Amino acid sequence: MRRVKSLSLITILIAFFVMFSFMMIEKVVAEEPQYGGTLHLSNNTDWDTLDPAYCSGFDAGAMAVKFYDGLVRFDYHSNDVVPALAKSWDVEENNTLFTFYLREDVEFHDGTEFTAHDVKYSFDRLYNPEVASPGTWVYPMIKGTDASLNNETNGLKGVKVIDKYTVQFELDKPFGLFLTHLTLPYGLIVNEDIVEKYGDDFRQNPVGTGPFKFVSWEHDDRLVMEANENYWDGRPYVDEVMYRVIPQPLTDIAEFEAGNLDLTTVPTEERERWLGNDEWQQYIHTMAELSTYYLALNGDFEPLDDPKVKKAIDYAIDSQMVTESLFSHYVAANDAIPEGMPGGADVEFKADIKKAKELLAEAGYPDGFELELWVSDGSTSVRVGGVLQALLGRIGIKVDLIKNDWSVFYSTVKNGNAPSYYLSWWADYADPYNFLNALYTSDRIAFNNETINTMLGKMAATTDQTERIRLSQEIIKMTDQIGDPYVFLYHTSASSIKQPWIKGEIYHQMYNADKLVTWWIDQDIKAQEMK
Amino acid sequence: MFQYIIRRLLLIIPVLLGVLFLTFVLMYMVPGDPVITMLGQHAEDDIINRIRAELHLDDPWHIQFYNYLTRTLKGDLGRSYISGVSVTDALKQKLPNTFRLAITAVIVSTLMGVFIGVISAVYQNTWIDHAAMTFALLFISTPVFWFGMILIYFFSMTLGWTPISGMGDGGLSLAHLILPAVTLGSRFAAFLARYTRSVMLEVITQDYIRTARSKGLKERKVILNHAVRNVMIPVVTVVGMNFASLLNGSVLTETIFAWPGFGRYVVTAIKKRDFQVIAGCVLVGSLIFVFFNLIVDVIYVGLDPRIQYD
Repeated sequence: MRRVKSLSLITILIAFFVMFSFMMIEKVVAEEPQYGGTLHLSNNTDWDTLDPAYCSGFDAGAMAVKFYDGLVRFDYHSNDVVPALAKSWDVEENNTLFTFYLREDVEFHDGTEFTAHDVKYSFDRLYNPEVASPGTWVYPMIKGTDASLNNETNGLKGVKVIDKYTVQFELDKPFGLFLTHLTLPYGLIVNEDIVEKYGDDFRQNPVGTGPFKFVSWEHDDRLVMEANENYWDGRPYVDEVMYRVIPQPLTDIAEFEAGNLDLTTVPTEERERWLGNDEWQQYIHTMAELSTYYLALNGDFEPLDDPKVKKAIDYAIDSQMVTESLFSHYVAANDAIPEGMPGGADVEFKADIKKAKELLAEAGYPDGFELELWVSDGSTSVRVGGVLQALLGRIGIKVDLIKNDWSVFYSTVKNGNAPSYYLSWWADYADPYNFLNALYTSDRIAFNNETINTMLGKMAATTDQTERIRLSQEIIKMTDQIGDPYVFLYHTSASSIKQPWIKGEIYHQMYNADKLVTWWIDQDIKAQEMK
Repeated sequence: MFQYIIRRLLLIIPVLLGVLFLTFVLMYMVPGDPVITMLGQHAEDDIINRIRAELHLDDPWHIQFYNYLTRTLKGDLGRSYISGVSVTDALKQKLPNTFRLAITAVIVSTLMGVFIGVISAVYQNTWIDHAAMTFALLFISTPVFWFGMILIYFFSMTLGWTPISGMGDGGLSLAHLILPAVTLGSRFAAFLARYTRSVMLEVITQDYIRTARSKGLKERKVILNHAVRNVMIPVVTVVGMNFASLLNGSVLTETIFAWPGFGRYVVTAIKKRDFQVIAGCVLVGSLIFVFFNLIVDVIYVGLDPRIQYD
């Protein structure tokens, strides 16, 4: 009898063990990526183009990488540059000679084989004056770009096909960030026959080597793509991706709430409702963006040429207060480099009205002066402009706030006709050089310091990340001492929200890093939730 | 009549030429630059100049106008500077979408507006009249943007009766159409209700209405056959003029409901200073406006046999 009881107990235990094991296995199996389904995403604006040679905006660039590959790309989970169409490369002659060894198993979506000629054609095309690409600022270091743009040569002297699967780039001077520049959408590879086949319509008929094949594009409405079954890096998990163009953020989040979108950005107006919701919190991801918003002071206009006046303005604007009062979820800026990116110098936050007034008096303006501040007509810009106007008013600077639409605003700023303006810089790639070079070599603010230019030159040439960070910190400290033409205000962040059934999604700081190959849909959870 | 229509159609040509000329002059007077807008902060002078030359934006304006005109006469409205998409192709896609929206909006708003206006006038100074006119005032004062969001919240999110936005998977989807059409037509319906009421009040005091009543006609017949018919002439004028305005001014509704129409297309082009698109849209928009004026004039004849065109 006792034996029977023991046997029963053992049997029950075994049954429990087996059940538990099955449950665990089921759980593990459930987390295995599933193939299939349609991913529903959205964008707030239509894409200007899908031709890599014209991808000047972030939206177009982010979309182009779904259809095309470059020689290299950003790692999906870091800002490292990793192989893509090039399986490896050699760097020789002090960063001036790059030899890329290409993958041999790659086809364009129409079945055309990918070879080194496609790489040469893509870069030649970018510097063909008839193409009039806005991306010629990206690779001017390649030999022969000027000659090509001036119609002196047919193609780039510095891009050579060594054999079918080897291509070589020769640079005019060492450029340590060349590989990083190759990640930009202008460096995506196209095929000559396909480009010629579509002619003017190539911009809206992308045929690349990327993980997704183009299906259809109804402008301002939707863009559909399907998985490239033969993708050289393994086919994406989802069968299809449908992007909808939804310009109004509140409509967009309503579509998400109804389960019609799989992932979207939480609009500023809705932050409290979603971020404060316990049920949704686990599906929200907030990420610091690589952006810096600032007030620029143009030294071409008196008295902004006086370093003391620039410092006085810096002391009068408390960026922590501005950030906290207007955008409590953003990070106040003390220098040009965004949070989470190396190269910042931890310059002290300045907020001292008394000192600002003293500096202004020393500069000969004890009663202040009148200043034109240009802002674009977006609601955020106008709000920030108003706050800056009030803060500068405290030290006697009477700010005349000039609002215009983006085209007028930026044309004025670009032509150096705005004495001061509120603007931002968003990273093309995650390196301090991208920020510092853009800000301190700009002709918009009449700032030209030889020492800083030399240091920027060194930053560009070196591949040593530690050295680049050291130089970046030195530049920031130096500009702070000599009277920075910028008052840095804040760095932005964004919160994305996903449906519970979305797995494997990527939150990357670079707009062009995500090719949607890691995303998958848990069909069981979706079926359950949609019930 | 036929000769009149032909003459009116021929008059469209100088009108359109004038509109195009003015558009070109205005585009050159308005500050802002499509190339700088397109390039963003990477706009360097040499790149700007090269692209401007490639797009022939550095030609004098009269040469650009002449080139545009000769190309347009051949039926080619050019390509967007920004996206490279043919303006004709884009209009072929977007105009039908906006037409669909505007026609539905006009039908809904005319039916509602005329009905409410007539009822208000017939029951003048009763609670029905006061309630109708209060609602009309409310709708006229309601911002389109807010009203659209409220409709989405109530009918799509709460009741689940209609889709939230978009046009659906192709074809004519009434479910997708109804909320944007009501949003677009709401203010016009309210305006029309007030307008119809005032016209109707004037008509029902006329001698011929009194005569009809004194002949012993039933009140319903008096209103429908005699009063409403005479109300329709000014109402049709207003509806005709507003239909063209709804086509051109649907941008807010199209933005709220993610409707890929003409309004969003032209406003985006203006923001980006995409001159080719702006000129094409102004040309087509003017054509629609002039054409609808003509249709309204022709409808008059059907409504009032006394009107004749030589």
